[in-house]
Amino acid sequence: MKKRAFSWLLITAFILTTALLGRYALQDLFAVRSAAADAAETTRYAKRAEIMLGDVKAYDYNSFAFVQGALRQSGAFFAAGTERGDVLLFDLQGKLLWQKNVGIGKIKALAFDPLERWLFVGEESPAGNFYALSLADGAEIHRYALADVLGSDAAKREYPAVIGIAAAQGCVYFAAQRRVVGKDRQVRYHSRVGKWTPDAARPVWIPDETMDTALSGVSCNARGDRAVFGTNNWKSAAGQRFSATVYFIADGALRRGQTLPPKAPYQNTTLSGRPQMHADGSVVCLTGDGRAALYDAAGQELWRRALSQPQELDDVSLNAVGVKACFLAERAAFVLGGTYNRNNYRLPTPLEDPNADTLFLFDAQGRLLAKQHFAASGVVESVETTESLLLLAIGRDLKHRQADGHGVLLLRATDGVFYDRIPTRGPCIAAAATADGAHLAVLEAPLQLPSGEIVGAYRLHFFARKSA
Amino acid sequence: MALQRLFVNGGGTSVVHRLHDVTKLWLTASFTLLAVLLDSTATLYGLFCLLLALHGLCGHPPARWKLLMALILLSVWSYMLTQSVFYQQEPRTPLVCLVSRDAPLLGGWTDGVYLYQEGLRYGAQQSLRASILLLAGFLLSWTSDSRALLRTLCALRLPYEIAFMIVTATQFLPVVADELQSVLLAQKLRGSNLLQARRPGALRTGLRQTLLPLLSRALRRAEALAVSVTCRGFGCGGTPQSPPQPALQRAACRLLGALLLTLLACKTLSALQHAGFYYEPELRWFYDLARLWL
Repeated sequence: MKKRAFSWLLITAFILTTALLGRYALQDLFAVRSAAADAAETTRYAKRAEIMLGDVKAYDYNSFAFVQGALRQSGAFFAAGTERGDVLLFDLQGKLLWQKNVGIGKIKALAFDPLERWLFVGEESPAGNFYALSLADGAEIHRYALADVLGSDAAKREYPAVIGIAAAQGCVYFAAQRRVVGKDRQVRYHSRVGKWTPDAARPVWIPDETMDTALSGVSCNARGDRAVFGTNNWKSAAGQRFSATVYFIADGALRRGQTLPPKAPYQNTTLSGRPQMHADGSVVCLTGDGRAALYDAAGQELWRRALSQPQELDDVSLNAVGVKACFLAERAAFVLGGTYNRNNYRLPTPLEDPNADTLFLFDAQGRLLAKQHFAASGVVESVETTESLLLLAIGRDLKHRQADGHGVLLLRATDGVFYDRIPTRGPCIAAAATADGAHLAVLEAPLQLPSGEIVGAYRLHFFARKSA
Repeated sequence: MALQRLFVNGGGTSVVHRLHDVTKLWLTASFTLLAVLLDSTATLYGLFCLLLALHGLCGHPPARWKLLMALILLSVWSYMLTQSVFYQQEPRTPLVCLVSRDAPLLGGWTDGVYLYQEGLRYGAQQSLRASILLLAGFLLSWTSDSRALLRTLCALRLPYEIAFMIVTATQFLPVVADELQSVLLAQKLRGSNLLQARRPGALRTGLRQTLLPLLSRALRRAEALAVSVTCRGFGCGGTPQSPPQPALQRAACRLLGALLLTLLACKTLSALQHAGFYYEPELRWFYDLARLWL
């Protein structure tokens, strides 16, 4: 009797275990399949291709860091840089033209040469390389290691990173920085802005010294004789030398630093998005803590507007934060993201700033031309502009932890009116489009939900506008 | 059923039994290679089911099935549980807390011990590899005659001494198992039962009383075997002849070999792409397939 019971127990356990193994096998199979087949066609766009970019860590809502990646478009090409150190060049249909692995670093910045001869690549790695690659075949033309000027500490993982590249005719500007935690546990930044021309073996540093500030990015005019870079200091340190908000470069030299006075209750001004110089170099627009400003080429402030006033509510300071300043045709455009809780940016706010998730369009004199609210249910990870469209990559919804709002919002460049939304399963971290908006590329990342489920994958989607 | 008969080929007329030993060796080697090469859980599970089906064709007695099931269960759950506890990759989702972080001494030392969901999955994949090896090994052992296997190994140009040792080792396993059963029975008749020992001291004594006679018997048997084979002129005779492999089976083995080589090439191509060394845009369909099934 006992033997018989044991036999039945053994058989039952074996069948159940085999079924469990089968379930895991099927789940793995469908997880790969659903990751590969996850494509959302919209009324305006049809999916053309999908490229998996390899396995990366799936972050959750609690992690400060998130998957990195860069995506750019120029002429007949899309270029993508991945967290795994891959640089990929595609045609407009998503056909891979070449792929190059530049090492163990994470690609943080990409830019096309306006004449489409080179692709400039910036990475975060122990060497912190800035590369110039041939657009024809990905061959390395030039490489410069930022670790030579910013240092590198592998033990503490304090690596130099190229955070922004701006290419012009005949030259390219790049901004690089390294985060350093001192013995007093204070976070400091060492940064450099370089200008490289194809005939030079080494970049020219502007200024010719390491700066004691974090940078928000660099921008230049089409000719490359003028450039501008912004600082991104969350805290002001005593004795800081480079404490201005925005710095102006002309003819290869640092000309002027302009300070945007802090707005109460903040002690210092922080530019989360880079200042943007107009292609003709005449004006520069910037946005940060709910304000928008326009400067002339010499660094004189032309006008300043408060788009979102910080408000105190239950001892919590709230306001919408400027994410991006750019030029759409001859108008200055400012994108404000979600409402920011100064005490903890991840917490839901008791109320939303009326100007949160809004696009503002101003003329050169500072007159408001249009104001358009957009429904972003997550962090605006990146903003890209073309002649016809404004692309907002919507990432993690850190406040409400909902995973159904990921994707790309497309707004018309003329008036900011909603044009289309391309949903993605995982958070969208970057998007790019051709000038006429006919072809799009979207970079998606995986996300671990509180339930443990992983949604999305590290992949690129290519879309083309449906013919009328 | 005597324990010894559990391990050795008791004869049979099934399709698997009727296969030539070279074919069976090819099959076992192929399953082993596939278990190591493949990463797709679905494909590994498919191989696992195929091997179970082949065992089903053999018409094993219930005792063999019980042994097979017990060994597979032991392998699967030991892999799954150990991998679940020691899973270090991220992301990982705790399922059960075994030792809380706040627990005195152990909590601080280990930073908490958890069973992780992703570890269970990883363990399941690894256990499928182990189970495939186990099933393939038993399939060969339960359907092949040891003398025929020796002849086949020699025909495959394996040195006679090594072939002899392999076959003898497989023959010795059931002998050792049988002797272990005898020793345990003797212990039981003397009033001590190793399997029911509760205290560490009793367990230690029981183990010593079991392993020592087992070891001495094994040494004695090895000595007798050595004398026996030397007397019979071990290694001095000609190479034993194996009956020729049927043409159809020979062709099937060649096809299997070609498929394995193709698979190896596919896996290499996929790995080169994954590591970023070589990527061919035209092969994107292949990379997708490899990710799904290989």
